[in-house]
Amino acid sequence: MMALALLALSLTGSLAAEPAQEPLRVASKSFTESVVLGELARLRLEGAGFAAEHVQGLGGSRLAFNALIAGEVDVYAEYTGTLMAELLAEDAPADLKAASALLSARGIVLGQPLGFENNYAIGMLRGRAAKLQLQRLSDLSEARDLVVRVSNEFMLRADGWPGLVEHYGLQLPDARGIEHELAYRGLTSGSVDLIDMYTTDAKIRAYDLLALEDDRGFFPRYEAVLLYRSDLAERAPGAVDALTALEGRIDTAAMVGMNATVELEGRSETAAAAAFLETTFDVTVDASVESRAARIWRHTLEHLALVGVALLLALLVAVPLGVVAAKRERLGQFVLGAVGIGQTIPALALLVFMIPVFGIGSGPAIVALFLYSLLPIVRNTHAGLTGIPIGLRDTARAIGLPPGAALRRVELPLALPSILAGVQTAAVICVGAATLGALVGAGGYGQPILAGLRLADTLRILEGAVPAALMAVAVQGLFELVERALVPKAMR
Amino acid sequence: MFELQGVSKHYGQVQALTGIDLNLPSARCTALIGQSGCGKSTLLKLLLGLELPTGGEVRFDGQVLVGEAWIGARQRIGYVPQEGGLFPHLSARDNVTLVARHLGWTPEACAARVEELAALVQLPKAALKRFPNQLSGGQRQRAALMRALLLDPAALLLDEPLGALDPMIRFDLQEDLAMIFSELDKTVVLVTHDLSEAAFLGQEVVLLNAGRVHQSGTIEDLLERPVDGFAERFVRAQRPHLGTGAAR
Repeated sequence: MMALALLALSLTGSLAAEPAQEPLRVASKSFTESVVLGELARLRLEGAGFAAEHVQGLGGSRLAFNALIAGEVDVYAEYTGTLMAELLAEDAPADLKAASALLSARGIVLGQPLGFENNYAIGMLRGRAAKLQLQRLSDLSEARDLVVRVSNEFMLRADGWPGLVEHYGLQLPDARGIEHELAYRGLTSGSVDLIDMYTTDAKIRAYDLLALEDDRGFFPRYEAVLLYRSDLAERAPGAVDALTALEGRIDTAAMVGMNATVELEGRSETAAAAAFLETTFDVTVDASVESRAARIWRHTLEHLALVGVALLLALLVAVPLGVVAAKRERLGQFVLGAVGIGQTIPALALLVFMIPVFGIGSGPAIVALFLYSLLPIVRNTHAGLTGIPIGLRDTARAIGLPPGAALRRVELPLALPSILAGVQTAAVICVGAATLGALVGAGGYGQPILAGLRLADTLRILEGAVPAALMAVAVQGLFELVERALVPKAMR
Repeated sequence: MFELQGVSKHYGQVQALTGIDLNLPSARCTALIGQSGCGKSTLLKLLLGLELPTGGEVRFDGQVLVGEAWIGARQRIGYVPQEGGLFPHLSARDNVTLVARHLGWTPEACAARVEELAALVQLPKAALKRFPNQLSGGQRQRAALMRALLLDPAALLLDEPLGALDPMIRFDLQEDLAMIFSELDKTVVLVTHDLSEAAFLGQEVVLLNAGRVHQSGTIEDLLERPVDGFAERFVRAQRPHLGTGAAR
């Protein structure tokens, strides 16, 4: 208890010590290189005297791009190919100049190339490729039974697998999406033949992979660039200079090196970025990272906040909804159906739907968790109320209680065990589902899980998974205590 | 106190009550008797406004009540449901004072009234702290009676209050009820299927069968001058068996 209080104190202390100015926000997507580039940008901004924070590992290009347009973040690193073929595809810009004009109309500056390309490539083990006599992508048009596992985003992108299939006339039916890091494991274990990869990927060297030659020129060029808000120069004079200093300074070897530092040597993105900045700009960079304990504590607070706020909101809405559902039968069927549908939307999709309305960060995560919590609470409130023996409901009216008082003093207390069970279910679901919040920058235990997945770092995954499981158990226990406190023994 | 004119009640196709004309006078105990399913409980629900008649009129204190007016009326009618109908989440004391607390009585006023009523119905003080499932059947009925009497209502409706009790407890409670009714001088409507209970507690008797009133009047009328074959059979079915074997 003392330790908790002290931690809380030190936390509020550190909050108070922060400068009053709103920190500049850097975003990154959920792969190592993007996170490293994000750290480069953050460290440059901090080096120039700005408070900056890094929203790490957003679950997709569109997410980061939309967050930038909405002003949720100030800068992130993107690739020209992604920009042209995906993010601006509707406007179909003819070249980068046209793209730049489109972006500036939306308040975004397209920076100069950072100095390296990270093109998409289709890769396989060099030995396997030799055995099958595959060197070029056009060689694949004769193949039929190769197992293709590409990242989920690549599977769907017009400039990804579908375009490739059409361009080269491929006929490979066993092609599916998979978490990118798992694809490498499949490749080395022999269960996967072809994966998508990036040409700056540190693992190309580590696993001795062959990037099949794009002999018919399908993949666009993916030059790394910074995208930042046009108003940044005005809001934070000097910030843009700090960022553009990176332009033209990161060549392919440097980027592969930084990726390798993280993925092969197991050092942090911060360390990789700091080392690069120190040699390139001859400055000293404070690359200190949080201790593991501090990080777990921070994730615990973030996770608790997500679950707590979502659950509280859900309680405020779901219990009245459950009451209405129990009192008006027809409306009740509709309400139960509606909240049931909410439950069937996949968590990830729900999170993405929330972005345009609630931005990135804890907002969309809380709304998604709120929607997930509705069903168990509404359903159990409804079941608890309709399960009260008709005699007792009649008696409450017969002894002269008005409907509101009957509900408050008799029906809700009688339904309480059922309602509490619903809240408990919702809470446990929330603790689990909140780990997905990290995909939209909400933090919490999902952050180490995603980072661990990305880096194939089991310890890192456990750093999120174990506390999440413990929290679920603790929440379960907490509600047993609440029930003990609120429901008279005679009723249990 | 209660007047029913041409009252009928049906649920879909099921006719629960038909053409009921009744006048339940003030300060007397009327027993509604009849077999299970004869419409006794439905009649009680109409008196409390828990159900509305399909046809005819129910008057309480000379008025046909609608909507909110029922809430005030119910606070002037004490009600003891079958098996007591105590709320399982409240102690006996909290059951008794539930409506009073809703009406904003002070804790002191509640406590004083509870003490008075506990003495009247002879419920031990220790029982007041307990929850319904920790009370005996007789104690539950006594607590339910206290709850019904708390606001000192003008009328008291009891729905088979002694139905589920052991014979000896039942006997004690019958005695106590008779004493309480005479002491309080309230309009009492007692639903029962037990003729001897009706005879013991009721001054007026209304015999119901298949949703109709077969006979109403004094218990002597019913016993000595049953109006029709049904009334006669109902009376005969409940004659005491003790000693009849030896007499045969």
